[in-house]
Amino acid sequence: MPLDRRSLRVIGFRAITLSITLILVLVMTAIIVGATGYDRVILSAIIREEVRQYREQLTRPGSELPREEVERLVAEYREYLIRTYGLDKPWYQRSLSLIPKVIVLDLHVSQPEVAGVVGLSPPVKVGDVIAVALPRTIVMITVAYIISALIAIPLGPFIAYRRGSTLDKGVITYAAITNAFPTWWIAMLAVALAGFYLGIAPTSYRPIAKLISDFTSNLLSLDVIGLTVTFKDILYYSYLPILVVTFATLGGWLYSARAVAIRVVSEDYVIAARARGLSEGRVVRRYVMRVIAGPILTFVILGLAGSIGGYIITETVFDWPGMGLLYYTSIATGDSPMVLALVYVTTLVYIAARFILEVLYVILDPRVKL
Amino acid sequence: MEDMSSRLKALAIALATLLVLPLILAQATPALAQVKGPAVDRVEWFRVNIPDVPAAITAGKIDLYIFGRLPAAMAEGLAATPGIRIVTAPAGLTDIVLNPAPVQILKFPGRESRETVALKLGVNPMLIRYVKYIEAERKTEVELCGVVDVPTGVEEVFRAEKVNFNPFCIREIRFELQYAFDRERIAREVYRGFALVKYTFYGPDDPTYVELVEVIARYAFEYNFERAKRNIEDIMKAVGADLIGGKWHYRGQRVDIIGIIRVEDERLELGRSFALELVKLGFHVIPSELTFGPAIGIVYGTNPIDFQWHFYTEGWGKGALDRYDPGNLAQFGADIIGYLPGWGEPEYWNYRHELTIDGRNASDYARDAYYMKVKSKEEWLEALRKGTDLAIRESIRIWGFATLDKWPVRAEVQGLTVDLGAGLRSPFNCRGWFIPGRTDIKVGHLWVWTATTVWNTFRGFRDVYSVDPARCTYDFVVWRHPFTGMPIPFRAKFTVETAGPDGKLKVPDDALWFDVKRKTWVYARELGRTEATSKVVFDMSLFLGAKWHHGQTITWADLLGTLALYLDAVYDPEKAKIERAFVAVNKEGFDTVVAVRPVGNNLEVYINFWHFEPAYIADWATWATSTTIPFELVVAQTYAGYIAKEFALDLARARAENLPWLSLVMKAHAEKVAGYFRDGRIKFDDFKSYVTTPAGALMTPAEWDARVRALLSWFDRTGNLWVSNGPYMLTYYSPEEQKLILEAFRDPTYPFGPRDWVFGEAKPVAITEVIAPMIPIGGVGKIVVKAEGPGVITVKYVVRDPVTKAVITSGVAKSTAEGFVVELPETITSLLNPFTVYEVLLIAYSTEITLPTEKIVRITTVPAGLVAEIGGVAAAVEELGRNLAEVQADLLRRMEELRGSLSAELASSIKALSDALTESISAIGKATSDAIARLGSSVEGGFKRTDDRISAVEDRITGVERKLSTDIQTVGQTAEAAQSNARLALIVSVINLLVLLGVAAMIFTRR
Repeated sequence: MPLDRRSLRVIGFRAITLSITLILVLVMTAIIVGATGYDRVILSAIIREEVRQYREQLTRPGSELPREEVERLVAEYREYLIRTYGLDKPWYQRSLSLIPKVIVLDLHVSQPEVAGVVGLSPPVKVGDVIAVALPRTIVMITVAYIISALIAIPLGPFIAYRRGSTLDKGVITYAAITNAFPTWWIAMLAVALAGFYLGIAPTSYRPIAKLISDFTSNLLSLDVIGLTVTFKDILYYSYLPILVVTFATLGGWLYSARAVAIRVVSEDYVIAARARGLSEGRVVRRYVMRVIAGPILTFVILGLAGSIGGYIITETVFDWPGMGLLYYTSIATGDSPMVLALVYVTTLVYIAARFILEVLYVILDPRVKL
Repeated sequence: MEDMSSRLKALAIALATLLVLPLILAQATPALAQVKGPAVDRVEWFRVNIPDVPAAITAGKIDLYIFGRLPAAMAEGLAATPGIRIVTAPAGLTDIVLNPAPVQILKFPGRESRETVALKLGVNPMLIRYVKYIEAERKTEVELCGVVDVPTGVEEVFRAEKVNFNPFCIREIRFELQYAFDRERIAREVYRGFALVKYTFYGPDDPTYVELVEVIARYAFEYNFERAKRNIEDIMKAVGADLIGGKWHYRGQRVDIIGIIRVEDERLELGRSFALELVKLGFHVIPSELTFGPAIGIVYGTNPIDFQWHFYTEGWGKGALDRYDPGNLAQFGADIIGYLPGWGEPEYWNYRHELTIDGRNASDYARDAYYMKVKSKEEWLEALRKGTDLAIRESIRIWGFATLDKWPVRAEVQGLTVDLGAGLRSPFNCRGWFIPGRTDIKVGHLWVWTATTVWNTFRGFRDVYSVDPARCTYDFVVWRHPFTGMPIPFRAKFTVETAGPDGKLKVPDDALWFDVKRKTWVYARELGRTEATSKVVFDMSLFLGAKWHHGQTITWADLLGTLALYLDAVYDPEKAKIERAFVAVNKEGFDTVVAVRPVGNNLEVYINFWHFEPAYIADWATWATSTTIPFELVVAQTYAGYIAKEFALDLARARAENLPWLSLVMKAHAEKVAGYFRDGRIKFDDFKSYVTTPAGALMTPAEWDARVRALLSWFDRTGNLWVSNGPYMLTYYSPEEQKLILEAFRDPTYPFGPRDWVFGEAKPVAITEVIAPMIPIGGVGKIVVKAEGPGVITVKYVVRDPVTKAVITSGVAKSTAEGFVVELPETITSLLNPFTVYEVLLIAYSTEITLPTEKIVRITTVPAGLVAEIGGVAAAVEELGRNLAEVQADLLRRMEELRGSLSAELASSIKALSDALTESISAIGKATSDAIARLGSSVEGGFKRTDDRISAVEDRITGVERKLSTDIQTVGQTAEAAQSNARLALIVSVINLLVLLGVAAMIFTRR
């Protein structure tokens, strides 16, 4: 469907607004990290710890360096670390100067622990770290979200039609239960039950990291046999985490889809359509699905975009270091470049999703132009 | 005769052969048959997260878990699990560090003392923390624990912003707090027994403790809250604080205590417990429960005089057992390493010692012991004792526990060495561990790889995750004995010769040293290296001629070439600028090495180092023995770090220059380094001089080429460049998978077999019996201690007051035939009070197990004159006892007789009773059967009459049936119609019920 000028103007305006939002988010994050002294406190503590270790190495029993020499070396080392961590600069130089480089992901992680989350050795660029962590989160969380969405989108309206039925009540109860239990707790139960007691699932999920890397390499080298083998292995290692996340999220998805549909199925025009003797399928397709497509699409796209943020604790339970753990480690170690990069990437994805939605709204709902 | 003689000769030879051959075979066969290398063929080493450990080990996914920091509750649960055992070793220390910072610092003109300052300020001297005259300024600096009004003419240098009083600044209060900490309860309830109580940094988890027991025994801080409360109240009131509403106030301001409590382990409960005691003492406590990062950010990252914390629950890791360890005093009681509040940071306020002995403080004594600035063992011990005494009295830290690391192991795992310091992490373990019937072992670790897990021999191995598996791949020259902590020869025997702390030995003319300027080995004398304090001769024959993992032979080129490259990295001015951290931590060690001299298979090392224990001199001399990896790999690291400069060898340089930190096990790194060889960038000619001595080259180009080929082949096979000489080869390493595989190195040249380094479990010395009679005042007291254990046992004793812990005497018990005898001479017993109970602390240890066993017994004193009387009474009591024993024996005999006669009588009675019973039962049986028979016949008649009646009834029923069948037929048609209606009604009712239930469920769900 070709878009008219007005629609394009609306979309263009939204694109500019979203881009400004992205930059604002970055600036705000940089200010939070820098101006509050958060990174300074953590980096100072790290420097002190390293200096202490250095002093300990310099002062060994049995052989004494002159005390002045120890102090000189320690002071020199401290200065060196202060420069290395950028603590010799004011916060705005240290943090705000990172923003242009963050946009092209041309920054190195400052803490080895952050690189360690994805199995890389420093020096490593933030983009490379995210490029390793992101597929892992996609395999576990995003895939589970997609499965949940695929089940919930057709099933939600179906349940809405049968409001008050046993199925409806069952779904409501299921949603309530799965919302009440934390996903990581279900994950722990699943690993204990399926992994350790039944022996039908792995107990250690670490190999997934290598398998995903191998899969990517095989994909790039078009190695079909390798792809098949690694894909099978990935399936073996990922089925339980995906099942767990799907199980935990499906209730919410179903409930939301039902809630959106339930309002529509009781609308007059739907009743009228039925009264006109139209078939149920036709009523659902033309009078229900089309109306609920907008909200459900919003829900699905934003949900998928949000899924790349990862699940910190669930990832830890499965020993599946993805975006969640990367976020946590970056914040805990005061790795400002990585914090900014993660905020940037997740915001970018969110904003991209929003932009896609805006375009779709314009296409699907003519009122949006007004 | 000649013939006879030759026959005899032949017979003799034959006989001799027959006799000797089995001996030769007996010698040769085991050597040939003995398996070389470790006990298992393969070790799989992979990550297991702590919460998964119980399930993983119970399900057999791992055979042991080598990361020992498991929560006590988890270890307790595992210990109770069948098939799992927990190996423990004291591998951590826990304490509470107090912030002793002053709240106000003043400068008085001229020289002042504590007393004069107190007088001028009108305060109790206890409020004054520290007084120091500054010569340059001609002023006296005074640190105060509570804010005072500044007198005219006195300069106020500092005043704390938030607080006006710090109780922990007052030494006397810190000391009293030692009594307000219930260590025993916490060890029992919080650590669930996985902790040993400590009163200072040396304790029963440490071999050095046995040398300091006389000092530490004075400070056995048993929980005595009442004492602490009473004394702290007195002190607080004396320095001007008031208890208002149950809370201490100073000058109207409430005294707040900020406690930083770590949350990750048992320190959470420990910190809360201490906070509670402080609350009970009247302090307002603001607990802050934090994780590692934020906690150290506050405690070590802020100036103590900013008062962002008052106490902090510290935790420390412990290294291997060390028989003579000055490190604890240096670290925890002195300012040497920077662990006293202020942490040695120049911009912070730093703690200065308040107490001295003979004008010297704890740091002075610590420095003497730490840097061996002593002339004898006695001097060393004296320095350590005085330093420890001062540190305890200053009480900067309230010591709590030696926490036990807990390693779960499946019960079937054998061949372990439970190192008393390192526990399961001892490198002896991987050499001996095995499971009968299996050829592999599965080891779980918290991590296999982290971003700081680096395998390089310059500045790698700075974390436990690399160290643990790496130590399975290489052999040491010297290592610590797992039960004594003494340095012992591992793969090289050694002898030590020393000229003592002040003497010098002549270095032979043909000894060598590496000339950094000329880049070659020269005679040491040419560099003026002609004398040294000590000489250590290492027998390197177990290294030389054996193979590296890639199949090449270990030669002198490896030993000297590697040393030369390290020396070059330290002393070459250009290289020293590149990897400064390597220089900083190695220069002091290399500075003490004067020369080396290869003689046959021996390596003589000349060093300027003295220790009262020769084994420690040998340990120090290992600075000159570099045996971990082959020469070409050290060349490769040198090239990568110093010449190509594409890698950093240390983390600091890696960060500063944005270079990868070289790790020979990372595939990407190893590939690049292998590329240096493949591309011909590393040339033998460039490094030949490092393996050339005045006597000639130690390696030929052909040998070099063979080594490079072997190295590249190794990389192609394993994907890593870690080649060493130990019992295992690293054949697989995956950071992503968090997994590595070690395979047994069974080359016949490898010297050790699977059982060569299995020490098993230490059986500590046990004090089995203590005979402690009454001690005569003014007479000779004698206590006999019986102790069992391996090696030569020593029993030390300390006699002290049980309440004040004041030590009356101490010493070593004499070893006699009747046991270890503690003799208390008249001079000592005359110091004791009569009819008083004293405590005797007994400490037993042996030459083979240096961790002590402690026992406390109590003795009672009596006046000497009473001893004879008491002796008479005792003899009478003994006589009485003997008589009683006789009476008892007689009674027993009589009772036995009585029991016998009673038994016989009882047996006959039982028989008679049994017979009577049998007779009665048979009579009853007969009567019963008769009665039943009579009953049967009467019942039969009854039945017959009943049958007749039934027949009559049946006839009537048949008549009625016929009538009914006609009626039913009529009614049936009517009922069918009614039934149909009823079914319909039932269905409607069920539906209604379901709807009702549904409505109820919805209501319930909505709630």
